[in-house]
Amino acid sequence: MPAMPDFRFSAQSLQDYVECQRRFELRYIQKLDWPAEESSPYLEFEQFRQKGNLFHQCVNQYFHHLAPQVIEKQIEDQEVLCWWQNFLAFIATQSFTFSTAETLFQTHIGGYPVVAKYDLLVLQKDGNYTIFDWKTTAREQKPKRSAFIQKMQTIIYPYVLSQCRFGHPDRNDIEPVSITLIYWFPQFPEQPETFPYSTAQQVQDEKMLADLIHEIVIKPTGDFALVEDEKRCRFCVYRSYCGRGEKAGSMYSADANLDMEFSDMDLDIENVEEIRY
Amino acid sequence: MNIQQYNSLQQEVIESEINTHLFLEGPFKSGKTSAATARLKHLADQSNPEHQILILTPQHTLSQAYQRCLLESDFPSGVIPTITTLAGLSRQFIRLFWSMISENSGFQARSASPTFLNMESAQFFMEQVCQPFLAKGYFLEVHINQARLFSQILDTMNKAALIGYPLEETAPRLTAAWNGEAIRVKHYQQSQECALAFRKFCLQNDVLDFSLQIEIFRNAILANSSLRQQFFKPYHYLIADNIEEDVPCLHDLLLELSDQIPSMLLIKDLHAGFRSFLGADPPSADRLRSICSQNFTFTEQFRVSSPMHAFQSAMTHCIMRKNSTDISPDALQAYTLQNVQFYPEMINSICDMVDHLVHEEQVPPGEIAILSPYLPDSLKFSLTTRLQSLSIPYLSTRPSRTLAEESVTNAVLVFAKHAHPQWEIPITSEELRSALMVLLPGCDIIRASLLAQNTLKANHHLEHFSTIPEFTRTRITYAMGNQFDVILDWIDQYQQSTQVPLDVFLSLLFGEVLSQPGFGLHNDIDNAVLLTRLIASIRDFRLTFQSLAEQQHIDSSQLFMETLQRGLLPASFYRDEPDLDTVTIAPAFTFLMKNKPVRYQFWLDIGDIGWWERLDQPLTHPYVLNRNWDPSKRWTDAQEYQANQSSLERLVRGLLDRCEEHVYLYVVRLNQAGINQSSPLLSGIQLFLKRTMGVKNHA
Ligand code: SF4
Repeated sequence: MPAMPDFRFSAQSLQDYVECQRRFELRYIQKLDWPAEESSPYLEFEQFRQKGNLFHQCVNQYFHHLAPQVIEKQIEDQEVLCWWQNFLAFIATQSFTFSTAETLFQTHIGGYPVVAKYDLLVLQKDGNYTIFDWKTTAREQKPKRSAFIQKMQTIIYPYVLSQCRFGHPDRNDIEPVSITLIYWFPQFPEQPETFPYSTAQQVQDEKMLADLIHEIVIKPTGDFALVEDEKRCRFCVYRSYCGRGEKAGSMYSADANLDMEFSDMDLDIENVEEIRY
Repeated sequence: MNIQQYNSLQQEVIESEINTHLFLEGPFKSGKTSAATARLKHLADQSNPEHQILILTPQHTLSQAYQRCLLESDFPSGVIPTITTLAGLSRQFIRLFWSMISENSGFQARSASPTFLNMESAQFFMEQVCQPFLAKGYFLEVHINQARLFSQILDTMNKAALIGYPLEETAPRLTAAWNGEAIRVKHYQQSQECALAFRKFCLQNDVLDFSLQIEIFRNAILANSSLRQQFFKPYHYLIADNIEEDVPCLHDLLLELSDQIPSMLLIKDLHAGFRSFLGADPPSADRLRSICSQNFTFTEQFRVSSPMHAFQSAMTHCIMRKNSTDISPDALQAYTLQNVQFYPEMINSICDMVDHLVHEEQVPPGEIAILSPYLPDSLKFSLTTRLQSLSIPYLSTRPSRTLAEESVTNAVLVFAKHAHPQWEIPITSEELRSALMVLLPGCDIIRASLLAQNTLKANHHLEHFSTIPEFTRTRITYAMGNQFDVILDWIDQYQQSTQVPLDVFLSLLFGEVLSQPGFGLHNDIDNAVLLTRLIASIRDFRLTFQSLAEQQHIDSSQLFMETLQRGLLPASFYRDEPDLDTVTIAPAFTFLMKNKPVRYQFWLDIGDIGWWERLDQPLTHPYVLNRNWDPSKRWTDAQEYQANQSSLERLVRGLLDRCEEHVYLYVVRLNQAGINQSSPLLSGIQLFLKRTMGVKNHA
């Protein structure tokens, strides 16, 4: 990988790498814009993402102390309304002393910056931290737990938090055992997936992440291999560039593993909007 | 962080008590931002999710030192500081509190979320709103094109919001200061009428141009302390850099926040305020001293060559006609003055010198900037063509072509028209021919013409290649013709299914056909970039204009096509240019706002009056629509002269501050129109030459 001084690793970019090295190269190194569709049916995919984004926006407003009735006024879609009501019922059962929503955190691994954006981070009275990630899905069934175990997000989110000191430069890092990651599904509010963290896990993750990042940074351009399993290409915009088919796969199919809450991390970080006139 | 690398004054800033407000000023390159980034790391060590850091700059390019600092491996782990601008803050605020503020602010459409307009979409709506006024004969005597007319009306609206007075006061303010023909007063009135109609339109449709965005943010934040507290609650530390380039509204906000945010570092560049035509207000920034318990002034400039410093000092004195008897002989080493007869001679001379620097002196191209007051397409074209032929990489900060002018745009839109006959937008034989040359590999002009002539039928309909007589098919070649038929077959199939918006159509056509092997866009990275922008632009258009298109009972794709043909859209915006090792070709002001010094500068045609004179703006006025303007006064020619002089002095100082070794000044005897010219910049250099006549050793 060529030197890229403004590059940050994230759960998304590392996930891309482990799924297909070539996609990582095209998307993050070559920054190749390829305007093909990612998934079909196209407008439903767009609308679903919009719904996911609206849900995130409402929850963010909730944690900025807007009254739920005021927030609810902007929801016209019945499905999102149902998610929202599920959220209100769920959050009423939680207690915490501090919360921060839609916040970006960063640490360095082997000298390279790694970022994580938490939908919600809360601190409980007992000093434990919980990271919540809201997951919406286009399918009828909730994704299986196994789908999350190996996800980069499951590894990176608690790890990044474990590296923070929060204003105590001389104090130890946050105890890994005090961290929990919860994937919460507005469509399946009773079935969250919970991932407790531990020191052993942290040690293992740190090594894995350091090795992975090292592998990427020393890999020469051109050595980023195309994924063998061509099923992945059905949900990849670079399909025609790689000669891996014509039509995008359906977002409803079982092997679709799409990110419904689209967020461009670079835009989030460089939140500097320009006005020309 | 190694504190030893900073001088004692910098160390004092870095280590000052955290919970206090500091005001730091100094000239460019005096180490202010270095001290600020070191303090930033210190603050980041203390920060946590409840005590976050907010960094404000007037525009993105001015935040790069902070962006880089966050990436350094010794930057503490934790919450990433928020780096933003007034525009970014206000958008974030409005998105977050939209459901609360939309009703109180008079929005009527009850949309779930606000729609923000960019410059192009604002101009589009402004055009719609202004049509009835233009039909009545408004602005008949104003001789500027419509795009400039609308942008000036929008400018008056932006000024009202940034400075903080009601929109209705614009015409009275301009009228009170006007000193010339009475017709201008009528135009001020007409402009205000259009602005108010535009504002009404925005409120009715839940769309926000920049002025409305700022006005709502300002009113809500300044009037509602609980909203302000809620929004800024996470922030305990604030750094605002280049506050002299920011607007009074931002300064008001900082004054309001001074009690809520315990730690502020406010940084002001001396001798700047380059963005004054965008509302930058250095005197307003000075008000912020009052909230700071400590003031620091850095005077020592780092890495400044003494010849350049001497030249800068002498030149600014000459421009302002101040005495400067003791010009250092060093000043003569800093520049080269080149006299040429015509423009092409100047272009050749500059490119030859750049070639010499890059290829013989091994100067990295990124250390060279070619600057002029404006950058007309013809000038840019001549420079870039010549540099290209010399294999010198360059980056022009002004895009010269809109997306509508790109051949790939035309190519895909030809087939979009064919796929949507209900739009009734004609396809011409020329555009079809050009499209075929882009989309079918190896298709030359003769084959493309033959294919176009034989397949384009009445009613914008394209016939298949297979329907052409055998003899012609052979001349075109089957390989090419069959590919053409693949595109038409795909469109036939598309027409039998549910139709989709234009952006989705193009994306499908690209992904499923045009980028597949055997087509012209297969692995064509450059055109893919252009198409990505086009598709994103159409999608933005669709999402912004959906309700308007519904009101007018036309689909948004058709509205886009019509708007494109009128030359108003789309935005050919380019995201930030990467920091590459390339020669910069830019308007001088754009270069200043990059805030990145170079070793060599070339100033084009210093006799051009554009170096001194501001743009003719018959409907607005940067000095009158300004907080520092005394409303009982009239704007006189003497004030105009003085303002231009000061602005030229600032520009020259700013440019030379950002030039580390040598500046090449070009005087062209006859301009592009063949006219002999002069300008106060040229007069300044002539006075400098006179004053240094006795000084020896000038090469
Ligand atoms: S199309 Fe397939 S091989 Fe190509 S980048 Fe995408 S996933 Fe990888």
